[in-house]
Formats: sequence, C-alpha cells, structure tokens
Amino acid sequence: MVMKNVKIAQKKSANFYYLNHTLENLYSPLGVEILESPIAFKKYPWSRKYFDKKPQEGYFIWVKQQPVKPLITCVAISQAKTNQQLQNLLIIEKGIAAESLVSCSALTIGLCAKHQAQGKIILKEGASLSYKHLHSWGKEDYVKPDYEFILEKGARLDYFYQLLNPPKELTFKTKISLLEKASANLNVIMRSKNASINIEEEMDLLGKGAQGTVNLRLVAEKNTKIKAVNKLIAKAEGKGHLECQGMILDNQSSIELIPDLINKNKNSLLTHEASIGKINEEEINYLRARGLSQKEAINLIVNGFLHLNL
Amino acid sequence: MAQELLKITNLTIRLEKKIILDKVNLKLKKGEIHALLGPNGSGKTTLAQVLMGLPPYKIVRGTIIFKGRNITKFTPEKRSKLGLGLVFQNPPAIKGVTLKNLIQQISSKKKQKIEFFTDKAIDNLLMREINLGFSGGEKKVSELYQLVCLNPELVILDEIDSGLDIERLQQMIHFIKNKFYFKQSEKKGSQAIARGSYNRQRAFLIITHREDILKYLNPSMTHILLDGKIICSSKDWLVIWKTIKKYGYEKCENCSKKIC
Repeated sequence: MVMKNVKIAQKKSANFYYLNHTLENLYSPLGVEILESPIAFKKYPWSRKYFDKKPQEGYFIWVKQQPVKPLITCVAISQAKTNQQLQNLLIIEKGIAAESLVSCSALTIGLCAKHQAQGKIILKEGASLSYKHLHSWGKEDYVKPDYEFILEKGARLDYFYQLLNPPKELTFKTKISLLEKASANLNVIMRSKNASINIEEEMDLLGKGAQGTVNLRLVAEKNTKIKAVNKLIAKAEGKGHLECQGMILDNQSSIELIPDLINKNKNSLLTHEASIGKINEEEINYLRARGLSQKEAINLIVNGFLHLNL
Repeated sequence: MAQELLKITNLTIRLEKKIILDKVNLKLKKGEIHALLGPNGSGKTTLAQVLMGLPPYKIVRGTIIFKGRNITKFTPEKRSKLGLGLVFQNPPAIKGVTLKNLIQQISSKKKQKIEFFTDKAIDNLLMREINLGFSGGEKKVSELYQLVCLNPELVILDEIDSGLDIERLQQMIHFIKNKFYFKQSEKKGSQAIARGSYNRQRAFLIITHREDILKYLNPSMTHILLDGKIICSSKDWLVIWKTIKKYGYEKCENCSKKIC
C-alpha cells in the first residue's frame, strides 16, 4: 500500500533524492529534465558556463514546460564525516511558474559532516519561482550553501529559507541579480543554539524597474554568534528594501548586522530598517498569567517573531 | 457558611523606594463579588498585578492566601493553574502570535466547552495578532474570552468596562452575571447536579470607575483604596458611590467610621 502511494507521488512530482554521495531516487516528469550535475556537464556543453568548476556531484534541473506539481529536492547525510561538495543548477524557462521544495539535512546528530553546495538558479524572462529551502543539521556539522539567483527580464523570485536545527558553523551566501522589471523577495528565518553563523547576502538591481526586498529574522538563543552582512546595490533605476530583526535570548550570544546600501543611480531608492533586542518581559509575564510556563511563553513569542505562527 | 477563597493580610508592596500598597487586608469568599474603587494612581492595578504574581513589585511584608494555600511567592503560571485569572487593563501586543495560537495553548491544558456572548466578534479576533491594533473594546472582549477559556475560580476584572461602548458593555455584564458567574463543574450531567456542584459560583474582584457594572453585578462588598490603603469597606456599594460622586474620595479619607 505504501509503495503504491510512493509510485503515485512520483508520477506527480519531479524529485531528486541524494544521500551522502549517492543518488537514491530521481524522477523527471514530462517537461522537466533532472540529471546529476556531472552527467549534465557532459551532455550539455552550454551548461558549463554556469558551473564554476567541473562538478563531482549535485543536481541539474531544467524546467522546460509548466510543471503541475512542485519540484522536490532532498539532499541528506547519514554517514559520519561525509564531505558533500555539490554543484547545482536549476533553470526555469521563459514564462514558467515553478515551485521548488528543497531540504538539506543530517539524518542524525553528531555526524561531524560537511555540506557545501554551490548553486546557480536561472529564471528566464517572465519566469517565476517560489523557492522554499529548509536546513536541519546536527550540532557538529559544517554547512556552506552558496547560491546565486539570476533573474532575467520580468522574472519573479520568492525565496524562503528556514533553519530548523543549526549546525556548528553555517556560512550562508546568497547573491541575487535582478535584470529589467525583475523582482525578488528573500526571507531568511534562523533560530539557533550553540552555533556560529555567517550570512553574506547581496542583491543587485541591474535593470530598470527591478525591485528587491530582503527580510531577515534572527534569534540567537544560547551561545550563538550571528554575523550578517547584507548588500543592496542599485546600478539601475529600481527599489530595494532591507529589513533585519534580531532577538537575543542570553548573554553569551551576539548578533551583528551590517547593512551595506550602495546606490549608483539617482532615480533609485534603497531603504533599510534594523533592530536587535531582547524579548519583551511584559509579553512573557502576560502569557505566564495565562498559565503558560516561562519556556512555553518564550517559545510562543519567538515563533511569533519568526512569523512561524502565522 | 461559604469558604474563604482569598485572604490578603497586611500586604505591603514596594516599587523601588516607594510604598505602593500599605498593609492591605481583604477577605473574599467563594461566589462573592467585591468591588475595588479608588482614584487614579491609588494602587488598584498594582494590587491586581501583585495578586497575579507579576513583576516588578517587591513584597515588603504580608501574605496572600488563595484556596487555603500561601501563594505569596508563587509564579504567575502556578497561580493561574490554581484558579486565579486577571483581565489586564492594558494587555501587551504580541507580534506574530494570533489569539487563536494562545487559545490553543490554553485549551490544551483544560478541556471544556466554551460559551461566550459574542461569537462574531471573537471569530474576527481569533486570526489577528494578540492586541495588535485592537480597539479598546476588542481588547476587553479578547481578555474576557481568554479568561472564559481558563475557567478560573477568582476573576480579577481590571477596568473591563473602560473603552467599551454602552451596548457591548451591557452584553458583557449580562454575560458575566448570567453565564460566567456560574462555574460549570468538570463533572458533567446529572451526577454533577446531584452532587450540587454543577453551578458553583465564581468569585470576582472588580476594579472600576463606572457605575454601570456595579449596578448590574451588585457587589456584596465594596472597598476604597486611597494612596495604597484600603480606607473604607461597605456592604452597600450605592452609599459609597453616592458619597464619592458628591464629595470625592477626600470625604472617605476624612471619614472616621472607616466603614459605611
């Protein structure tokens, strides 16, 4: 019965499941081509310009026709000291609206694994992508995602990143380039304990009418250091907004926000809003008066801050 | 004879160096409705918050006994679990947390059927973030709804009648008097009725500046708090109300009877 359900699901959704260094499952429905990156590198010479180096592992997804269901990409680690070095490429053809669910995780804690992913995501003219990216790691892991999104004319990106369980060290790099009338909305949600997190994010408004917003919600719970450098660059007439909000729950943690707004066009508007603070005691006490324990109250408020309740 | 539910003895409260409440004594029995009157800044809200165990007040001396237990050092959540509930005068807004989120957390602790006077107003509020952009009246509706879900034995209403329009106020008072006042037993059906516990009465401590709520709820005891001291207590709220309306609280301060 279970197997039957899996088969039905496969017929509906494109998927790529990669464990440690092995491809476990792959399904390409009509109009979506999915390959391992080294195979795509050989098969399509044009794809080579998108890879920084010859890939050893990773996925290549080429969406040529409007998909019915979301694309599902799952990369996991189950063996200790695994060192993944993925080179990924996702291309959405003109005018196609796609949804992508991406999960990268360690299946157990204490693996001391490394996960490095370098990826390019190309949205051709008028294409749109809702990209939901979840990370869940063990407390001894090192994780380094480095993604570049290129949005051609009129393309639209909604990117939601959520860190469910933090690794020991996370370097989160994102670059989004927006051409004429393209728009992007980047939401990053991180709640972490005992971690060191570096965020390097850059959004470039390169074409007239480009619009971009970045929204960061960061919670440093216990012995956590978070540093976020956010660049917003306007080279053409466009609009950009950067919002960073941080919450610190203990004295052994720190959050450093470095917004960097560079405007090179007199008709562009770049704005920025940031705050880092502690949790409001009055809110905790209000919830405690309703019978919630201190821990339950903090949890509810923090999830609210991260917009997870809504 | 009804059992004593709350007994405050010699309660003296300090905030930084200032004494806010001075040797306050108050006794409240099961099912009784008491009113607490006093000018702005006399310490009424402080008393309500101290009863609930909220900071930042320091207890200099005195005890609070609730249901026979000394709760003076209890945390707010422990007091809430024991059956004490407070309608906040100015509840804080909590971003990103809907009223429904909170109700789910409260309801997961106590299972009961909720009966409320305005399903429509509550349905509109449930999906909104708690107290964020709520009007004065909406805050009071939300507060009372939370208390109904908590099902407490003693309800402290800190100016529940402020910010409400007259129609909504009357609906609310009617609900309190005819429904909320009667505490349903956790045991259901004829068994509970036979044991006489189906309609046990809830006790209320009402903090107010308005006559309407007193008129409808007819408190059995009314206290006047002035400069942190209870200076007068009376079984007839109307006598007190008429006196302060005509002469102000100063008359009570200078009155030698200390009881009307």
